[in-house]
Amino acid sequence: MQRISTNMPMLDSRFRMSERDFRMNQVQRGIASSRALGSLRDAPVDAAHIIRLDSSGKRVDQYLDNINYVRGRWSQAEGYMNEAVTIVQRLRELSIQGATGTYTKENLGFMAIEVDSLMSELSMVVNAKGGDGQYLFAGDDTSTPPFLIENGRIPGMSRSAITNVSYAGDLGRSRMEITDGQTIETNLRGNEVFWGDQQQIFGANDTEGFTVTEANRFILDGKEVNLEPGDNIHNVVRKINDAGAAVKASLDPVTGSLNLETTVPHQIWMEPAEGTALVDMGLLTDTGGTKPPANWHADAVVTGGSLFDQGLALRDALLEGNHERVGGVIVGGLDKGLDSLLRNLADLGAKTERLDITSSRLGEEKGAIADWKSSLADLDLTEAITEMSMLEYTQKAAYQVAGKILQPTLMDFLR
Amino acid sequence: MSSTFSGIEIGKRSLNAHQLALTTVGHNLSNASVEGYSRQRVNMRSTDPLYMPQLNREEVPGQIGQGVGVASIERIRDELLEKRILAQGDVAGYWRTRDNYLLQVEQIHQEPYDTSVRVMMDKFWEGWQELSVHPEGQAERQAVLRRGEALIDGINRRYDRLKEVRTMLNDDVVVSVGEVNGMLSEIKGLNEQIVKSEALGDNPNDLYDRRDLLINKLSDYLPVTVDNRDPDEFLIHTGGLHLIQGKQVSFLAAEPNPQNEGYHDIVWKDNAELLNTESGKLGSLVELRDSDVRGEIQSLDEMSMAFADLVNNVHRDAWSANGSTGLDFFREYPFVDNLSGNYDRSGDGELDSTYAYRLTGINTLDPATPVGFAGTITLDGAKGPVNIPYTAVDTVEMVVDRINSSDAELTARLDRNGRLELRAGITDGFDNPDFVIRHVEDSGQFLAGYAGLLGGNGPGAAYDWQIPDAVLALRPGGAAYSVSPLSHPSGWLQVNEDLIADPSKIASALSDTGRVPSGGDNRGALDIAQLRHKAVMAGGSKTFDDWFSLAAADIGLKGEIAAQTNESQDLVMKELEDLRQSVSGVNLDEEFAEMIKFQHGYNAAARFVTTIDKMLDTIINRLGV
Repeated sequence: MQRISTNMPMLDSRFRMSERDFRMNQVQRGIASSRALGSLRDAPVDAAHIIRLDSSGKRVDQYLDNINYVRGRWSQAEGYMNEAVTIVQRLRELSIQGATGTYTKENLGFMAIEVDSLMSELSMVVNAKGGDGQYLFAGDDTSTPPFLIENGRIPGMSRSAITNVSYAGDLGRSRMEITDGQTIETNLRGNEVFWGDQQQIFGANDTEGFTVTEANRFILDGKEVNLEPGDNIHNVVRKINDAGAAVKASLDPVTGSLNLETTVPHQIWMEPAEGTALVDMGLLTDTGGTKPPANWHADAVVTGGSLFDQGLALRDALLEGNHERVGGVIVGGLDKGLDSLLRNLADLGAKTERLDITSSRLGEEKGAIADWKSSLADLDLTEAITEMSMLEYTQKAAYQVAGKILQPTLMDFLR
Repeated sequence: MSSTFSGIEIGKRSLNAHQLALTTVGHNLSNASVEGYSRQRVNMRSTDPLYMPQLNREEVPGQIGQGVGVASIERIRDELLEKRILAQGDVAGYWRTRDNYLLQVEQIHQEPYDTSVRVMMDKFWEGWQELSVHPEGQAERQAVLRRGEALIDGINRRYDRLKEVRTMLNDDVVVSVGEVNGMLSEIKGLNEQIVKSEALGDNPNDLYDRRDLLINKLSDYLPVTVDNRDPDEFLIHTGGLHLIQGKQVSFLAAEPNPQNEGYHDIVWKDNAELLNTESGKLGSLVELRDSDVRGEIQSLDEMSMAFADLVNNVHRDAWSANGSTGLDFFREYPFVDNLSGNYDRSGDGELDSTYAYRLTGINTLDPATPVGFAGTITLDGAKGPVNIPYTAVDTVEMVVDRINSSDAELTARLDRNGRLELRAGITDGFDNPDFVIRHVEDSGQFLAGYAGLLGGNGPGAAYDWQIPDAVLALRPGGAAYSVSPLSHPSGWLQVNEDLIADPSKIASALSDTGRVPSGGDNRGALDIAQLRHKAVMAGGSKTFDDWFSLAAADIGLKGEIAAQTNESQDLVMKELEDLRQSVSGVNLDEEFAEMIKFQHGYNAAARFVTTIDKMLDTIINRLGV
């Protein structure tokens, strides 16, 4: 039997009451804020998970935003590309009509006028801006129009007409993140989408016996190529072919020059970063300060043009009345241009589909993360209210008992 | 024949004794709720009876009892129980202090719901993502700038608050040492009084109680043991050393320590030796200040430094549309103004160390390629040199991971261009400075020719920080280094003012060829945005998300342990206190019962005196004429 001093029941009560008060306060705070954790110490490992899930959810939101933005731009671009397809198909019809040889020069002249207005329309399509004010087909240079349209007088046309169209935009190197670590190209470049022919560059110098003397680095269509001192011309050819750009290099059997040819119709861009090997091999000009595509060597031969070149050639041939040319080279060129345009359209469609798939996966992931986080971070209200009632009940009982036993002492009964 | 008045004497003695007993009961009743009071009891003893076996005794049947006297007044106390309570006191003090302060540190984190530094960092990364989608946008640049400022603000504030807590802890240390000294003085005073009182044969019970209360309070601050065997000298020991020996007191003192930023060490006043505190409130305060909170500050510094360094590295290489490049996003302040990082550490006027934070090699490495030769890398860790061996079949990634998981206090990674980068981290203890690379050596060719970092292999070509111009040991031809930052980067990190003045200089593009890139090139912004989930730090937390999550879990676990241990220690103390109350506490009912007993005893004694008085009256007044 343990001896009980007078203060003991009271001290005991007080201890238990303060414990219970603390617990009631915690539960009440949780109910008021609907948070499961009052402070980190309540569930440290859960807190760590919640932190990660929170950041992860925000990342997923950002990726969804990114995808929406690019999808919007691409669907606008698709619309313009479809219009370009219509224009090129009409041009093709006209060229087949003009190739029959049954029209007079005057009639061909009228067809030329139609071709000219179609060209004007095409020039507006390629310089289209997206909904946010950025040019759609300019590659990375989205604040300047991609195609430079020069007007002038053409013999046979009464008003001012387009004389030359050149590409003034940039390559599309920008990428956008759609999942942790995965990126996708965002910008379309006019010198691939609206290109007609395979481009061919014939170098100016005979490269037999050429050896690289210093470390060289140049960028071919956005891909980096490194040349070491001691590389001969065959190594250079191999490195260009292995660079991953859609360009094939070869040595000309007759002149010995270094020739480049595209495997997929687009405009080749070559820019030196270190060293002068490209100038020495007769590919690039040695006057500094020029940027592609105007930096080819003065004596290098550059062939292959854009859709505009085809269209302008058609118009000029019609004006001349040269229907053999119209039915030959020009129809072939327009065919190739149309193919290229359709191929790019299909490519864009495939990329959009990939974005759609990623977007729907991200949507589900977002929901799953939110659920998981909620299960850790949010309070189970039923549980909390039940616990609160229980605590209140025990508190009342404890108070009643404390009231009863703390009152009488022997003193009350002594005379 | 006994003396005439012996009856009255017996009565008188009884009255005295019972009155004394009643006084003591009254004392107990009055002091029932005084802290540390032990109930007192009178020990009544029969007075020596007549007659002792001696020659001058009267020949009457003996021995005749002579009444009652009070032998002593004792306090009822269980000494063994008291020793147990004393032993538990420092544990209770330790955990209570720890619980209290850790709660404050926890609240600084503001996780996982409120606007914490992590949320601001998330917004910062989002700003860069937005910029990577709209690289020409000026609004996005403003957003990146403002969010960067908000993030830095958040980091600065967190540093400030942690520093506040550390200063509070230091103030508490100084004040507690003062309180301990005060208690020691009081105990010494009480010792003197008690010795005087005991010399006269008394039991100074109330002085004992006061002294015991003070000792209990003292045990809260540091672990003490009491030795009372020698009545002349009352001994209190802590950790085997004397605190009090009778009248002699060894006081404590708080001395500022310049190596610990001027915070105070607890030393013995006499010989300035460090007090060995691992338990008790003092031990808890010192541990919190120098280990827990300092660790939090260091970890925040490391994260801020890595973050700023990485963002700056990319931003310096990147271009903006109006042609500006080479700008830092976050302004860094170097530790020394010297370009080679030379510093005079000993203060003797001669440069004697090199303070470099980051070393970068020349060659581009591919993480999946096997190294092709074997060797051992030697770095410096907390407890001395750390050797990291590698074999010919290990890939570059494996060697980098091995460096990161060793004790070497630095991080290795391959940067954007695939070059090997070594970055110094935080250090354990006060001897070595933070963010300084101390020793890099390789017996094979990995760091030398393969990664292009060191000039050669072996100890002769090693990089060591304890010589000036140590950066000359790096491989010529492009091995780069950066000077260590001023201490506590999280306190002074700022966004570059040039960018605040002209946000269009915020770079988002990369240039392959040195030509100003187009406005729509976003590769720079994308690189920065992708830093968010790259593994860039050493130790358990690899990415920034990992760091925040681990930091919160760490402090949460510490807090959980502190709270639970504090609670259970509270219960232990409460049970011991209950036992003590059970032995020494006053029970009012008991005292009233005793009071009745003594009251009756007193009445009986008074009655007896009256009876003797009447008998004497008969003899004196009625015998004779």
